Amino acid sequence: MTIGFFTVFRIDPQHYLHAAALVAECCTVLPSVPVVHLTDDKTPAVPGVRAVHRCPFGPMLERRLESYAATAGDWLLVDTDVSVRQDVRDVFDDPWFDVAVTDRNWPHLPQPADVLQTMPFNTGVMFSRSGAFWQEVLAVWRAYPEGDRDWMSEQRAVAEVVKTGRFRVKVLPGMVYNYPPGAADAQADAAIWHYKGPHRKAWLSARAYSVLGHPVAVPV
Amino acid sequence: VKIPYALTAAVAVPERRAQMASAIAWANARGVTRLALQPIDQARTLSIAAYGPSLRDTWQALTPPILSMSGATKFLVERGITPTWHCDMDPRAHKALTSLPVVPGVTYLAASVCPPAYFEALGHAPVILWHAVSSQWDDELDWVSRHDPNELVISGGTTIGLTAIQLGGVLGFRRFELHGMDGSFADDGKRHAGPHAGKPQPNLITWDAEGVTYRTSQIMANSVAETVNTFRNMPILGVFYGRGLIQALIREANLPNACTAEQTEKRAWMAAQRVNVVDAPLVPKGRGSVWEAFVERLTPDDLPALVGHIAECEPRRAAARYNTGTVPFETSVLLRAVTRYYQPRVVAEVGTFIGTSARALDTGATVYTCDRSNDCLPATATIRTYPYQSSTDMLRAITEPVDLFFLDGRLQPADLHEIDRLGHPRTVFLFDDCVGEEKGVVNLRLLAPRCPDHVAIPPCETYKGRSTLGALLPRMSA
Repeated sequence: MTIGFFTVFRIDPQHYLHAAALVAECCTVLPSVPVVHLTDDKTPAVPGVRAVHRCPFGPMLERRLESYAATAGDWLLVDTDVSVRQDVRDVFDDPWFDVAVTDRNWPHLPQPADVLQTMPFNTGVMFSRSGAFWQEVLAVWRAYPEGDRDWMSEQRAVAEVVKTGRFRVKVLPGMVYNYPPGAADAQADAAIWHYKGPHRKAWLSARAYSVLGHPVAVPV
Repeated sequence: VKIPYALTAAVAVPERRAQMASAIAWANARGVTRLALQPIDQARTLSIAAYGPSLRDTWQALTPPILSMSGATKFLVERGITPTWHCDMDPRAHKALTSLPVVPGVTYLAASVCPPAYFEALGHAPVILWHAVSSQWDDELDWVSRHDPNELVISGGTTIGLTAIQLGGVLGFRRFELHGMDGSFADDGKRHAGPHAGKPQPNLITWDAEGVTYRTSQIMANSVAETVNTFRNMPILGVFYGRGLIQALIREANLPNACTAEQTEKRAWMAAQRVNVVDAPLVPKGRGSVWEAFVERLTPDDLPALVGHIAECEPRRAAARYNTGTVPFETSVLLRAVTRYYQPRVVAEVGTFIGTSARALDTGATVYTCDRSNDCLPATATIRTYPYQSSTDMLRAITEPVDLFFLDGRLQPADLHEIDRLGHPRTVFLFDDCVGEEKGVVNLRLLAPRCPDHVAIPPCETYKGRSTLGALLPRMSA
């Protein structure tokens, strides 16, 4: 398995900092798993990554989907506001799926009906072994009118491609693999956390300084 | 505003160059002076009299000094007003000659592209020669440097009215009152305030502003866009008189440095303003703030290094006697970016704590840093620490000029004298906690009156409160 994340630095460095914390966490939890920075042609490599895959400067969402589409093999593709807390390589023990998505069934964070209908899967955590799946997502996304290509459009495109039935899709429980921690009910044993809600920025900042400020020596 | 039409030059390049060479020879033979940069006088106002139809309605409000052009000079003389200067840059003889004969008392700012007949007609009138650059920048600059070395070149724009603003800037003016600069036909179909020798231009183009449809032409439409852009981008203040498309667009744009004569409150506010050019990188693509422009100066190694500083600095909290907050990552990024641009040789920091900001500022300069409460940061070859010492103690110990101050602690009254001693006109001041009534705002208020030529810069809005770094930046000319 390879862990990949997409982030570019243009003006605001917060995502770069969160990416650095994500990498440091991954290196601690999964020291033998390579972490790859997917980015544009200018952004400096995030410290700790094994490799950088670059694409030309351009619209971020499109570049992210292109980067995903260029992957081959077993990839865990995550947002930079994700925290990998446990070894999740066993997901790939199942040879049947092309992509494993995570549902939004979060009892402590009920989702609006329209979100569940149009974007039933949160793409902040995706297990992928099919670049072709992402090429299809990219094609669907590119067919959207300019005005519909907002940040959520990627999730709508993923849902559309899943619905076609052309790919083998496994649905994983979001409570385990894409868990948005709540203030009082943190499910500490969830494998992957995904920071959301009003405390998101504070959590992410605290995570960054905690993880990066007290690094653990990891053999490469 | 996008320039709407692609237009061709009035004369071909060879003819233009021949006329420029002829003008230089004529000027050299007569000992004519060249246009030279005058000291800026923020208090003086230049009235510019263009020849648009609204000049008929506003000429009585003109106050000297006056720079006029085209038929406006004759128009004013007929009404008993003698302009101070008249400017011309039309390479076509039939147009250049319309502003003549010479009016006694007027100094002629003549572009070298004007035809030989124009210069002959000037006779012994006082003339200042200047060079206009048109579309072929590099070629034009090269030609002028070879044929009239070390002289200024003016990039004026599509029309003589726009060029008059640039000429006024070279003459030291930053405040302008603009008459007859309409960019549109009058309701009676007139394009000028009086007779004009130019070819008639069809009024087939319409442009809506403030709910009114104005009629204009291709050339005028271009000048309209250029005029709004000029006031968007140039450090000048302008009051537009009369009724026309440009005046309406200036009101719509609601720029801080331009208004129309009847906007009395804004006009009074503008009268109290002065314009400064800050020594800072150009804002990328005309968007964002100066902070974004600084960020573009980061080197590829900077972000990874700043991330690495967290691992280096955070463990020092264990040694803190007073464990407080450190600057956020966004502020570290801005400190490093500002340092990259100004390349200070000497930096003084008030508020060391665990050294996050000192390390961000540490790019080869000597960094002096003090902390009244802590001794967390070890000194290095470039960082000189003053643990358990006040800002006054440290500042008194510094004996070399300081190029950049970063203030993350409250200044003491005695500090101000030391900062006066150590600072110089190009010193940069950065303030943390520059929000509300926090210490950064207090420090900025203490220093701003002592640095009248510096410009206060609020924190970066793009970072949405995650950085509260403010600044006093030096003027370009300091």
